[in-house]
Amino acid sequence: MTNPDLSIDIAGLKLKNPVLSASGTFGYGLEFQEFGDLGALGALVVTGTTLEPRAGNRPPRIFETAAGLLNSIGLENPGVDYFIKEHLPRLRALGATTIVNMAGNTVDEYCRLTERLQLPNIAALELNISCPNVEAGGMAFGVSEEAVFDVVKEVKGISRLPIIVKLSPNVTDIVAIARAAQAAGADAISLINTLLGMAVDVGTRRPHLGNVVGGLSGPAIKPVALRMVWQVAQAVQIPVIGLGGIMTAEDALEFLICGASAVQIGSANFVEPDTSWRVIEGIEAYLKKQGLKSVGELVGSLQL
Amino acid sequence: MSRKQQAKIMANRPVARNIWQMSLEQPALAAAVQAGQFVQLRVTGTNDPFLRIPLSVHDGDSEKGTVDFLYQKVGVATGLLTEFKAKQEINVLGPLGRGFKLPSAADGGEAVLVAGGIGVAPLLLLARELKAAAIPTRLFYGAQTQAALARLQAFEQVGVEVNCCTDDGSNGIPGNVMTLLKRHSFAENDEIFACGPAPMLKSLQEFVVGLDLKAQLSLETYMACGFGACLGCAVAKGQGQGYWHVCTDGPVFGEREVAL
Repeated sequence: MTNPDLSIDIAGLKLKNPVLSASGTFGYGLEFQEFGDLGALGALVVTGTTLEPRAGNRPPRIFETAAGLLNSIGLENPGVDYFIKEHLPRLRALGATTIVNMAGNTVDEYCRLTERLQLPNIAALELNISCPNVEAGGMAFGVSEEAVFDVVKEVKGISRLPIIVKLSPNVTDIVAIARAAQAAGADAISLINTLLGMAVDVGTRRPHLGNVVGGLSGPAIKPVALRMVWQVAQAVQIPVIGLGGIMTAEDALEFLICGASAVQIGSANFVEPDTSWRVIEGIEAYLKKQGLKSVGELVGSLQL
Repeated sequence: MSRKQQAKIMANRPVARNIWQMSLEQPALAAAVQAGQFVQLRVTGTNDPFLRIPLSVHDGDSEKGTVDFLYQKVGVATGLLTEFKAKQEINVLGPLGRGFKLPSAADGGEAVLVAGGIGVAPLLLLARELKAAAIPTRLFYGAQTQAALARLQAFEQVGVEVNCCTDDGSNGIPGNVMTLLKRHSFAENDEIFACGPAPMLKSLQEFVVGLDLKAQLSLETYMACGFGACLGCAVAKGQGQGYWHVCTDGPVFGEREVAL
């Protein structure tokens, strides 16, 4: 039997396989070169990029919790200009398919980022809408259908590159948010970002994180992520990229079966940096064993 | 080559109160490691505990291809580490980070190693490197009580002059390492190499800056990845704005480089 076809088409973007890195967990790929061929991954979604450099939140920024961790990194990054000048050429030289995650605090910031990043060697842009919207009292863009619709519409208006909208799970109705993104023209949706959480040091009676609250990621969130992916994939027609606690090929397959066309590997990269390559192998082995010719046959194949 | 490798456990045993020593056979790691670097160890095949644990390298023998760790049993992850037995395998990611920079013997100064509790861990390999470079070396080592002092003989065998102190006075001077340091006459070209709890490092930093001495401080923070991907292990810069990352810029920093 010939090898199964792992390639997938997301919003006109043809990826060689459905395994991507999750923004914020893979740096700019350079730290991972020793663990595998970056060019062999479906795509690299690089760290959240802002217009100006950001130093990030005060420490402690990390606290391990049951089957996961809390983080309040605070979008530390060198800014879009540095990324374009220093990181992008290296990513191109390594043969990586690069998707840039954009973070902003106003619609205008997202638009200016979008304009700056209309470059060859960037395959798509991922819109991080979990950032506080400072023009709306600091509430995250991603908790309001109107705010999501507005920012996606503006960004789509100026982007030739596909726009993937990354949803926050800290909302009342994730399907409504997803529909708003689709209505505004999003080419694809990725979910979930981290769940808001906290931890306390009972000795000092202080929060473990310098920022008090942070984002929970890792295996602990997978059941929530999977349920949301399933609900959203039922409700929208655009491709869905699933992430949240994927550690193994089996985890990834659950997301594909629930309707994701692709997956992102996040926190697993901290523990086993070669996870992405093993997940690709595992998906291929599963397709062969099941007699499936392509990943496409698996997507959304959940039997009810 | 990937720094993530399996290693064979040669021994794993308690050597002092709540302090264990693990010896691994991992030739690539033993050949590459420098004093002050660390590794990330995977202690379980399950998802809880989730993260690896960072441990500084205690000793290394590139001829035998072995690396040793000294660790304190404090919680779930280190508890699991004590359960590994000789002949089992463990997955190690390393060496990681920037280690200590050796002074030049030509400077004529003494290397003064300062250890607080389990902070003694990275200093044995450093002592070996210093002695191999013909640099006179002494150790000031503080612990809660005599039973908590570890590896004194190992340091003596390397030719280090060891001075201890304990909180309860059961070995050496009663008090902490700052007591020993304040009594010591430093020469201009002496350099301090320190590792220990945050309050100790902060007092030490004030002390060395006050006397205009050179020092290298080995820091510890919560870490997720340990190799520069997550940006979690931030420590405020001593000068200017922003943060260093302990796993890639450190764990060893100069005395004025970090705000403690």
